[in-house]
Amino acid sequence: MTAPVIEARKLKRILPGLIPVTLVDGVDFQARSGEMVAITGASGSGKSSLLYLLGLLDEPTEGSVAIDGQDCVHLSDAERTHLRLERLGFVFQFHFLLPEFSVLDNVCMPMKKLDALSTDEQEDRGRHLLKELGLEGYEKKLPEQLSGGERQRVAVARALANGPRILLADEPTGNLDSKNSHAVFDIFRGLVQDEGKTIITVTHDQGLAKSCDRQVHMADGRVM
Amino acid sequence: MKLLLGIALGHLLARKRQTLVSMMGVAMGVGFTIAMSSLMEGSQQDFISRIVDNMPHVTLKDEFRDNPAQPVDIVFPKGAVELKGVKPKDEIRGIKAPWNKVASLEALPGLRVAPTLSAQIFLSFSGKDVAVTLYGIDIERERQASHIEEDIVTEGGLTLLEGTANGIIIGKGLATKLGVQLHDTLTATSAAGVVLKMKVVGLFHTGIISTDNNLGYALLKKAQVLANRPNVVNHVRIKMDDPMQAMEMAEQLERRWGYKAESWQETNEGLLGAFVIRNTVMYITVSAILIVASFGIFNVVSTVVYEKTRDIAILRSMGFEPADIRGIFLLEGFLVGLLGALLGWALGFSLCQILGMVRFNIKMMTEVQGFLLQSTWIHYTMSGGVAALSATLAAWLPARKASRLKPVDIIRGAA
Ligand SMILES: Nc1ncnc2c1ncn2[C@@H]1O[C@H](COP(=O)(O)OP(=O)(O)O)[C@@H](O)[C@H]1O
Ligand SMILES: [Mg+2]
Repeated sequence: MTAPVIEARKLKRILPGLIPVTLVDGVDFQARSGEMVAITGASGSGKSSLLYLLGLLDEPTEGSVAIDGQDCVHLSDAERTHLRLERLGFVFQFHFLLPEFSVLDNVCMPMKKLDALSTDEQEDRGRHLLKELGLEGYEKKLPEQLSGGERQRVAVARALANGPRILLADEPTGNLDSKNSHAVFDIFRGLVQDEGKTIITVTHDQGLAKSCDRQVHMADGRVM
Repeated sequence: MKLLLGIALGHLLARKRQTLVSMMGVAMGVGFTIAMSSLMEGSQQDFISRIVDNMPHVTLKDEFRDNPAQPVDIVFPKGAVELKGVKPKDEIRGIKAPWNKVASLEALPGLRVAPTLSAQIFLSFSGKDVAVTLYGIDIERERQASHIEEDIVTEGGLTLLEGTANGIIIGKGLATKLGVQLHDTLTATSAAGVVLKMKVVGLFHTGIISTDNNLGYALLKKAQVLANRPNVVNHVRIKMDDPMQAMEMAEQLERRWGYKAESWQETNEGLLGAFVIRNTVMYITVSAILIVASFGIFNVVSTVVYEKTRDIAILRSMGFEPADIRGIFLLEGFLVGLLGALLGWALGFSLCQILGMVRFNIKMMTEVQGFLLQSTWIHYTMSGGVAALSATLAAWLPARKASRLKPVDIIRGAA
């Protein structure tokens, strides 16, 4: 077995306040390269909170998160931001596309920030990603001209822009019909099988969850 | 930077009308600043150049800055006994050995010197009396050291003073007041009681009403006769190649000879001081306009930040740093300020063109027929710079707020 790409130990997140709220309560979690993990559980069970911690968007109250064996809890804000840029991709229930920018510009945004490729190379890669996701010919369109399923696929393309090892998805099909939902999961499956990516996705859909390699069920901030 | 600029432009272009309105605010501020300051500068420059052209740069007078020490004070300085009612020693008025002083001044480079007897006289013509300052002059030196020859509007110039028995050249305004014309003979009466018939041999027009209405020129000898002060010179008027050195020169002369030496700046202290106050008032007004414009920018950028929280969250989660976010919104403020300033330059330039075409017919101090405008690149760069800077500052608060947003909080709420 390969070493885990992402690993969390005794992860705890308590929202401070007059009445502290425990979002995540001592979770151990790991995922490997080429593995697609579904996180399931009732609404309010802490799935999103766990995902934010794994994605370095939030800081745990206790415990650790390691990516590629590197402990991330003690990193500075800037270092965690850079890790997100290079190694992590996010897809949320809402597409979060920037409405003023074309589909291609939206996809290229993380590449422009990373600035590792020339502008031409960035655009080529953006077009390539869109083509792979069945969005050829949509490059110049604005997000508002797209259907819900198309927008979500653009969001996936954007999440993949910098070639991240790990894709974190929070109910990515929550706003989609079953046909579009299956299309997104087929794309995920392809990324895992062909490119060895690690995908962690929160989903309410039992069928889609079953299509993953592994399911993690949560309740009250804990993994059951 | 290019990336942030792209995002900032995207935000602004998406709300064109609001952006345009705030830009117009800045443009108004900048445009009016330019128009106002070029009006101010124009009249101020005109005024100063008239002063510098028409007035002596330094005037050496037969006066002292301090009252002369009386013999009793010289013998008993700070004496325990104070004498009151001492009859002061009569000073003989006039500059002592004036021609030696003129000669030593003329030996200095860049100086032209006009020794003068300035006397108060009355001119009478057909029952009208007008109090006039008469300058008794040395023609050749006067030509060098003053502008008056060029200002004589009748034929013949200063030379005619020599060709006539008692010639006098007076301002056109004064001639009108008295109702005299060229070649008329009028009566001059001095405080010393001497009466002379004098013939008007020339008229001058300087454009400065106080001069045109109150001054006359005659030969030094005639003025001395009229004032009953033979051989006396009481003013030495000095013109300098570099008028800006007048203060220093005046100070040196005063130290050397003890007589009061007044630079043109000192003579016009009140006016120059008024310019400073006027400029301060203008800059306060202008800053007020720009502050109002800044509120507009604050408003746009705040609105964008509010509307764009989701975009900020996704940018942050995909790897943009807080500084990038701050940069985007600061750039938005700066862009509105910069474009507003450019528009304002165009507005200010057109305003100046329009004001420059205005003509009116009011008899003011200097008889100008239109606005005097003088725009300098300083007005443009300063107003533009201040606009861009205050626009960026106005965007600072919303930009900082945007950079401090926590992506998780927004995504949690939006999901
Ligand atoms: N900012 C917050 N303040 C108070 N409670 C919160 C906050 N954010 C989340 N919660 C609560 O924490 C729990 C876990 O939330 P979440 O991780 O979003 O669950 P899930 O994604 O499984 O629906 C929920 O009960 C939610 O109401
Ligand atoms: Mg959730």
